[in-house]
Amino acid sequence: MRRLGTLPLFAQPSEQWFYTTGSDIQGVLIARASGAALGDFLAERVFGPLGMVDTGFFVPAPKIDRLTTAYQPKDGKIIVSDEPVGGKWSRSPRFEQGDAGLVSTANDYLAFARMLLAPDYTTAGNFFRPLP
Amino acid sequence: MRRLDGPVDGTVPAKRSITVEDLLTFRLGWGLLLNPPGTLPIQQAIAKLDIVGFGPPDPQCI
Repeated sequence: MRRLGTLPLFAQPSEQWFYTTGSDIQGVLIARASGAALGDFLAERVFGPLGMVDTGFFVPAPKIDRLTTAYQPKDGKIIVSDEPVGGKWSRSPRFEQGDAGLVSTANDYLAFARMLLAPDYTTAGNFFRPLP
Repeated sequence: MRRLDGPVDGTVPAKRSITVEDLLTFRLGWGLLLNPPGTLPIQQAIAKLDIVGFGPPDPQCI
């Protein structure tokens, strides 16, 4: 937050929409307001209740054999950008980002998506409350 | 900033503080810039900070 605070705003507050950075700051706000690390807050309030047992900011060692290798294009070829063992998601991040960086499974993502599809807010339970 | 493609210190005062509503609706005044990386002075300033939040996730970065 200190480094971010050295940047001027790109637009007046409320006047222009910009992607992604707001979510990182929301993550900081959640951590400060709850007194918990963002990852712990998400585990307790979202992933746990939804049964998303394989979702977090990193993959613990006992599960690392289930993490896929990441690839990226370079010079017309495909190269490895991240190996599971010893890779970027094999340990706790330096900063738990509110905008990206969770690692998960298709099953866990399905559980999250099914929560969003709940026919009404009461079925979704504590995840959403309509604003008054 | 007076102009997004202008100098980083070319600023005007903020008309008011950022509210939580601004933050929740992504209208706080910071975010991803779609110009080719490094083309704007503000992008160069962001890169120097070595922080996440303006591009892909990076667990090794703060």
